[in-house]
Amino acid sequence: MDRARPIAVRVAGSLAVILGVVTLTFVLARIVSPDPTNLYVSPQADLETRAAIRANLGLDKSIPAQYGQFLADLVRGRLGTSFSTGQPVTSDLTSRLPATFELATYAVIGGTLLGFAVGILSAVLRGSVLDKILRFLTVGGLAMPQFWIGLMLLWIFFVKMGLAPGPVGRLPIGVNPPPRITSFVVVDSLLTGRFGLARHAAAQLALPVVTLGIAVFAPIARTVRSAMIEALRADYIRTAIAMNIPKRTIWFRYAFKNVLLPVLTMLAGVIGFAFSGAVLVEGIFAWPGVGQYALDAIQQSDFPAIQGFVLYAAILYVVIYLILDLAYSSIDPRVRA
Amino acid sequence: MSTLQPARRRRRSTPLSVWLGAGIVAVMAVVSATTRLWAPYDPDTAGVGPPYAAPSRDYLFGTDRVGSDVFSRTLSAATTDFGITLSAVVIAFVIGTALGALAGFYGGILDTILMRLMEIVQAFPALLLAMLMVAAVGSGIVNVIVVVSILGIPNYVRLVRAEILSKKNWQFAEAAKVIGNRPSRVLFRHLLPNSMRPLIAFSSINASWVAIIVASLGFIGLGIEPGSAEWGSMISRGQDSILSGEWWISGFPGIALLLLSASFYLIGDGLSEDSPGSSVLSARLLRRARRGAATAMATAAAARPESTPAPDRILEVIGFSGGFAGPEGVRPVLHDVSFGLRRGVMTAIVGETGSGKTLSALSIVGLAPEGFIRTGGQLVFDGVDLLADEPASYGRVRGTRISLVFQDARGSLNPVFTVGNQLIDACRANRKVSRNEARAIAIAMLERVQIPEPERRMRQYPHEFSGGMAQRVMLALALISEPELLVLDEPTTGLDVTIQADVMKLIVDLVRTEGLTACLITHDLGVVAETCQDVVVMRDGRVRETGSCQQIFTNPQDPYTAALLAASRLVEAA
Repeated sequence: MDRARPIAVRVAGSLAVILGVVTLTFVLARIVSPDPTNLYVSPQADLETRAAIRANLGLDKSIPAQYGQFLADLVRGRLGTSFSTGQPVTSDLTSRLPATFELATYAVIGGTLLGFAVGILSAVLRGSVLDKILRFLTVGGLAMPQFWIGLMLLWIFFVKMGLAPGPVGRLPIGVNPPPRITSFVVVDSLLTGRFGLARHAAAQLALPVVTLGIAVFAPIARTVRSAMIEALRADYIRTAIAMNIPKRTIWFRYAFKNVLLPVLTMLAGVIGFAFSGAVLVEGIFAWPGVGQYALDAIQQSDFPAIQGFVLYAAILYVVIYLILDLAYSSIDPRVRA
Repeated sequence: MSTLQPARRRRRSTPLSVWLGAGIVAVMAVVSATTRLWAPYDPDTAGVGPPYAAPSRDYLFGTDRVGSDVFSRTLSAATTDFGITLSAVVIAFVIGTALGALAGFYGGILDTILMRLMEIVQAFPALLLAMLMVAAVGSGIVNVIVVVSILGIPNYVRLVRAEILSKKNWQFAEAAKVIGNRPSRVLFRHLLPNSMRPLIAFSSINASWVAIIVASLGFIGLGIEPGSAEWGSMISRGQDSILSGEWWISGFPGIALLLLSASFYLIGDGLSEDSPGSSVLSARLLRRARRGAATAMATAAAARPESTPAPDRILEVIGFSGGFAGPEGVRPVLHDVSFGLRRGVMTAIVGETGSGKTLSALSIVGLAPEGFIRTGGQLVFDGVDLLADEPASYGRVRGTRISLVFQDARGSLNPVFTVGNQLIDACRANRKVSRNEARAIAIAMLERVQIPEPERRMRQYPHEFSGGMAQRVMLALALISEPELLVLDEPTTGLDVTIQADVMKLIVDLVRTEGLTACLITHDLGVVAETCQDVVVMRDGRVRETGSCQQIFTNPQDPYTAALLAASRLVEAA
């Protein structure tokens, strides 16, 4: 019983956040366009058609009533129909999620591993020339706008060197995807033995993954470095040195486990960013994920689509932070108490 | 502890990177204020040159699709991007700090509501929320500033709230309240100014991020009026040309943005890094000081006659000197410290705070704090000079033959590993035993230091131990490697008086039954009189007097020793 209560409080708090997010989106949506009827009909349509559509959309009711209807639909999992695609938002989102997940998974794994390696190396060799070079790269990664990195990578590797394919999405134009098993194109190609296809897909992934990976790598490397430096300076590390514990054990066990705590928080934020569809990265590489869907939706004032995406992002955020809390208590005994 | 303070008090040097960043930002500020002086062409006029001209002497950064000069436009855009970034950061800083201070200081329902609101804002992907809000309120410079500052506010609220919460109960705040200051005055005059450094560091990092968000909005066409010069929209304009090879249209505005963002970042990163010795400047100082010390020592070593250590002494400290690196070389703190530790005897090093006793003891095992530089002397342990081939020599004796017991036991144990794990690791690092054997030894060790239920305690974490129990664990940790010499650095400071006596008695018993040599660092002469045979008196980094306990207590030769004794008798009498 004792353990259940805080979890219940957490879940209630999370639901409150999600409710707040969708409410804020609803309000913003109504400010942007109090009457989205124009998005459905041609400007020449007569008043009767307009009134019919308005009634159909529930726009003839008062704003509070519309809000109530909106929440009721939401609870039933009905996110409405996208103005621009004409499809239910739910199916639009689910059909685009695999692309985002595939891109984000590789970028997060690669960026995190590299970030840890660089951060630890930098901390252990603090003040050395290598440390300075690595820090310089990290600051560059943090200060470079994603969309610009993407464009420059395209110019270097696609236009100048011809090493990477152009920005046309998950597969070259005219190439059919493998049968769906995991929805990860590379994995599915390999599972069905189509190695040529897998190579194509991997080549398409390379630049977007690197672009997004930089956004994962840089903050992780920075956090790992400073947390590691702080941990190495702690009294308990001095004790370990005094007790003749081998250097490697000190770095990779004694200090590392203490480093994980601050880094996990950063990692949660970065994962949330990557999996909610890095909007601009997907845009530049014509990646058919949820980020690009959201970008299109905003540019076309497609509210049901925006709502759906925002809801997805909020749930993602809440779930990631719930997992973070659990991870925290499994690493830090002080939180458990 | 005492001797560590000079290290912490060392001058906080501003890292080079901060100056570099500030320099670039300053240049950018000047340029963006005086764009018209520098721009060779009108930035907003098309056709000042041929379309898609590559960078040349006439068009430094080339021209774009409509033949505008990219160099002039990049300069002109600096005004927009720099201006928006700066305004948004200032607004977010002021509002966020005020809200955070109120929430942290007054707490209650205001705090709860505010924090929930902030959480909602932060649950949005930042760029998406910015896009939505700009779409809602319309584009334009003012709207972009407002939207971007709203996005920044939650960070300031959280940061300031945490700062205020951590300092609210500090003594100076309490004191300010006690002498009758109004709460608001305590908040604005006493608490906030003390939180400024992290705040300014954060603002700078925030500015780096804001510059990118502003450009991102411009990139997707949601920023300021389309067509006007802004880095993000310039990059967007060149997007299609990239694929046909005209990289400069997007390339140069991006480099400008990168420069601005990175400069802000360098300032913030440098300011938030508080560690001495980590900055470029002090790393250089350290190296220079070390070099100077090395040459001095080589000369001194050549001049010194060969000393023959007395065989009954396990450790001989001979002429040990050193200090901390400062701008003018090494500032000495230990002067020609010499003493010996007799085998099987408990020797006390006594002295007041700042006398160099802890520093001397830590130096025996090469654990002096970072920044300490040895300028001379020998440490002869069992006939071998430890300093001759450090750090390898320490590896052979540290832990295995010399063990340390630190002052703050709970801080000296790793918080995320069980006590049992740490004991087993320490045992296996120094003795050739299997994990199971090490486990048995660890349990036996806990029993020896009189910890009840040792098997259950093995599975517990340091925070589950009281101060006295933690110090017993520390003792078990030090003894598990079966050392010959045990150095105890104020082992009972910070414990309750009754527990102090228990722990001290345990230490004396263990030392006696094991036949250990012990070195006790303390300022408690009462303890010394009861437990030690030899005494070393230190003051201001110098050894004032050494001798047997009886001689020191009955017939002190040094006036300082006499004064120390008189003072402690006064305390006892009272």
